[in-house]
Amino acid sequence: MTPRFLPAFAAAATLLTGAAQGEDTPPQIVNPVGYWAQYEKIIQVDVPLRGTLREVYIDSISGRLARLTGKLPYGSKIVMRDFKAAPDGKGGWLIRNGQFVPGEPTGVLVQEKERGWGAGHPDSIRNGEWDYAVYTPQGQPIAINAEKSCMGCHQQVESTDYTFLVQNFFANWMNR
Amino acid sequence: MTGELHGRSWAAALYRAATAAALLLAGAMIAAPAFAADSSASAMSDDAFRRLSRLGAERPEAAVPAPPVNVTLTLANGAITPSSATMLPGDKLVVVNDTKTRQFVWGQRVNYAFDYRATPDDTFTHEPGQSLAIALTLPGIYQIGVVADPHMRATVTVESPR
Repeated sequence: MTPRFLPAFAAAATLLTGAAQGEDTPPQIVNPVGYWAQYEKIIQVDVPLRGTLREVYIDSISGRLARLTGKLPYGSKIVMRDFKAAPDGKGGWLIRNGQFVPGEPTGVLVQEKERGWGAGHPDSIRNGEWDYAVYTPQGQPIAINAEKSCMGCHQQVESTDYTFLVQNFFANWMNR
Repeated sequence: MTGELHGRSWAAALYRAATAAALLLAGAMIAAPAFAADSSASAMSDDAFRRLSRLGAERPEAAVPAPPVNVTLTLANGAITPSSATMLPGDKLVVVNDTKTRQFVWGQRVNYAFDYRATPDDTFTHEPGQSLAIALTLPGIYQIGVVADPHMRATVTVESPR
């Protein structure tokens, strides 16, 4: 290929890529189950009054970038693994280092941000370029209506890039 | 002559040193059993105290852990009051929703967080007027927040055990 064809090739590639991510194509949200080595755990969220906990992960590349910038980059895959808390055998919950211990897994939730995503959702409910998926602990997809199940609540935290805790985590990392 | 004087002086000094060493050793033998099982002063037995008191010792105050207390934050008028509080591990952080709407209240300390969800519903933690309490055991500085209003924030410090 001679250099004079390069701009045309690049333009065609851009068009093709754009078409692939257009409004008619639903986002292909990552299924992280079985690929845990690609993720790092950043936060544990205990819910003591109902005896559950959530482990929050981010893909390792985005985690490294977010530590440098304090912001969540495109390509961020936030994964939440939900568990029942392990019982202590005395009617309470097992506590280790001041935190719940994971018991039975109950689900896997994913929040992913990619350039151009979100255009298929009404502006009134859209979460920027984030979209959502839910899986069983074994990795089977669970059909959800993200606009009803996820976006309504996350819209309340637009100021922290539609995340409840993760943006705070990296912002605090920057401010240490 | 001079040698004899020096000799008596050495003997006297030796006698005084031996006496002091014997007294020190006796004191140590009395005190040692009192601290053998537990190095803390609060573990001192009455018998050990009686023996030590003959040497002029005073009983140290026993370290009694403070009972857990409730520290209360109130949501009202677009703010959390007080905006900062300090507690000890095991104390309960009570949050009262004194607004007219449901609220979602969370706390975050770097890589550990908690929230007050008490039902299967993920969209809120507190009904209007509701008060919920959680015991915090992990020391650190927590930011307490309300999802619906990024300006409603408070800081709670859980101090390390002394």
